[in-house]
Amino acid sequence: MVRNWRPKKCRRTTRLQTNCKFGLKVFRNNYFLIAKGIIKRRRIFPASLPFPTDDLPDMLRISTNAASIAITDTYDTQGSISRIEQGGEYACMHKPSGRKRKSLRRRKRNRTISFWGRRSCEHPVVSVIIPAMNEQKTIRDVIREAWQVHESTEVIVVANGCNDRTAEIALAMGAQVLQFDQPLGHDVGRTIGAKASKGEVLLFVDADMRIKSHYLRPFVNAVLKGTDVALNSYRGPVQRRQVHPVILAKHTLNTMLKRSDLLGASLTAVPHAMSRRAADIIGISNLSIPPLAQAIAIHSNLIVSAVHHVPVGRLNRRRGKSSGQDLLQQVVIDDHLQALNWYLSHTDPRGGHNDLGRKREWAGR
Amino acid sequence: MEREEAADPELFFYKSHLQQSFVKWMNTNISARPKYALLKRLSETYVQGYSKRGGSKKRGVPLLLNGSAAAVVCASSEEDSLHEMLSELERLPLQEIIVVLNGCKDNSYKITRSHPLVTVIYYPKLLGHDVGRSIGARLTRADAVLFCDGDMVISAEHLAPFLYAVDGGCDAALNDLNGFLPSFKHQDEVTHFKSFLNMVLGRSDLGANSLTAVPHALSGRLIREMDAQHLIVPPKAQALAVLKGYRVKAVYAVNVFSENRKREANTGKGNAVADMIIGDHAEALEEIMGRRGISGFKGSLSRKDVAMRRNAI
Repeated sequence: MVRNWRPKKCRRTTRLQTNCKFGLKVFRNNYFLIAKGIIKRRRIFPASLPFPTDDLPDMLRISTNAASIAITDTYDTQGSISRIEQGGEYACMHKPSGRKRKSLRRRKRNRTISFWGRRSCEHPVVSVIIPAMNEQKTIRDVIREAWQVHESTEVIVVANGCNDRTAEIALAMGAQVLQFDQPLGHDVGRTIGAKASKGEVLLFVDADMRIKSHYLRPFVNAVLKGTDVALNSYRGPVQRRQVHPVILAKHTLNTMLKRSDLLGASLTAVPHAMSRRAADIIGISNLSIPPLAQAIAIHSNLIVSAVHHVPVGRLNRRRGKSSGQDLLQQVVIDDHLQALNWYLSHTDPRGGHNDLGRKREWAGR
Repeated sequence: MEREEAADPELFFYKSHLQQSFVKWMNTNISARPKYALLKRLSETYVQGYSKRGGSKKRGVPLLLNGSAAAVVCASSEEDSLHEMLSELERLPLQEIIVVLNGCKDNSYKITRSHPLVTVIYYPKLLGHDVGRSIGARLTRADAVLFCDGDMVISAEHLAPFLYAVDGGCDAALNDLNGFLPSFKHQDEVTHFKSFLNMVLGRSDLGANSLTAVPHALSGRLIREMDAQHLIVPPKAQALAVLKGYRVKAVYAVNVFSENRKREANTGKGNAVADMIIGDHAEALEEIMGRRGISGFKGSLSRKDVAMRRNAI
């Protein structure tokens, strides 16, 4: 995927906030040459081929393969590249020591990408899983809050079908990014992220909702204290007589599972957390269909509880609708039907509810 | 049959001069079939005039019915209200009243026998909820069948609209309880299930109305074609009726909440009756998913397509 170099746009939006003069980063088989805030993008050739150094501008000489890069020779008079992080797909430059920091105002103004100096831990306790599709507006804040959930955290961003800079920003924020060119579909990213995670607690958040970390911590703490699945106790607007179908479906499913005390709490809503044990019992692939996962969790006697209230309804972005109906509504209702179907096929056709001694045979055939 | 022929025509309201002359008068004077509100007023006025002329006060509610009508009443040990309930039903032009008595330990049988129009079906043991409805429905051949409970006295004026709606072409005329419901927050789980079932059936306009609630009326066509056995589980019958394209409509509002007899089993959260109704809805949902597949929507998009449409730039 080689895109044309658009100097104007690049200059405006893709500037690294570093004081170095030259740098290089590799991202999605492209390398970016950075010189005085200007980014130039070229394609990196597959690892099997020798890298055509002749093609490079004079100021940088690079020997690389697609997996790891190192800058061997810099044609830099001012010597501003102080450290290069190797490995992975990303090389990044830090502010050289001994240089004067920019004033606060100045720093604030060009904060398009600011490098968050955190990276995922080796042995994380908490894995924050963030499925994202074209969420460049919010992903930065979401990841920043995610890092603050626990001291030992890994942040996994499942960037699928992105046409914008979501993945780029996520990388710059130090998250582990799993990329997919095609959209995976709603909640499928949860499965992908959960598979890649290493933590004991899986915290699921959405990339389009900026939720402060102190709202996220109760979920993690609840799981650390022994809850298997910690749900958001958000019910949605329930003051009216006829509510949104999704709210109705959530309440109905919980009642069917004989957990009407959960009210409208659902795995469909973020944020929620679960232990790794719970994820394994539920089956990681089932996390793509949250109501099904909830049915399995409750049916397998996991400790499921609504631990904290985060009013996510207000944070939901307004999306495109088709004939006045949110498209996602159908998917969510179908999910709930699938969960009900699973539950009924694993119990009895009455879902384990009593019949109060109906003598059906008396009615004849 | 013998009994009917031998009796005085005034003994049965549907044969009475009042009902016959009202139908005749309606057919000659009113060309279009009126709405129930208008029919009710016409009927009231007609009865008033008829009483004045005849010198004795008439209590009947004459209705413009093209087909035959019947009522099915299920009761067990409800002698306090049964007599009154049957008296109200006798004010309607019904050809037949079927009372299914089950598990009665009181005088119900005697009371029921004192009403000439009534056919009694007596079971010494309890049949369980709604089984009586199915048995009663199977026995009648009427074009419109009204279903009531013996524990609740509802006046004939409030029962008539259900019969009238079925006679006018509706297949299932439900009691419109939506207006009596509190906000969702304060609704019980059973109401949630009723709304959910309608939503899954694509009939959100029905709100929380259900065949579980009485009174309601079904057309004879529906009962015969659908197999009366399904009426044991009312939500299932409702689901089948909607799926098969019968006309299901909420026609009239009768407040049954305040009149419903409070028992230990049907009060409080998570009571046994509520649990049973939830089980009924489970059966109905299973039936729907078995017939239509898990996806509740025609031509619904896959997760991927929805994501593409919603989140694409």
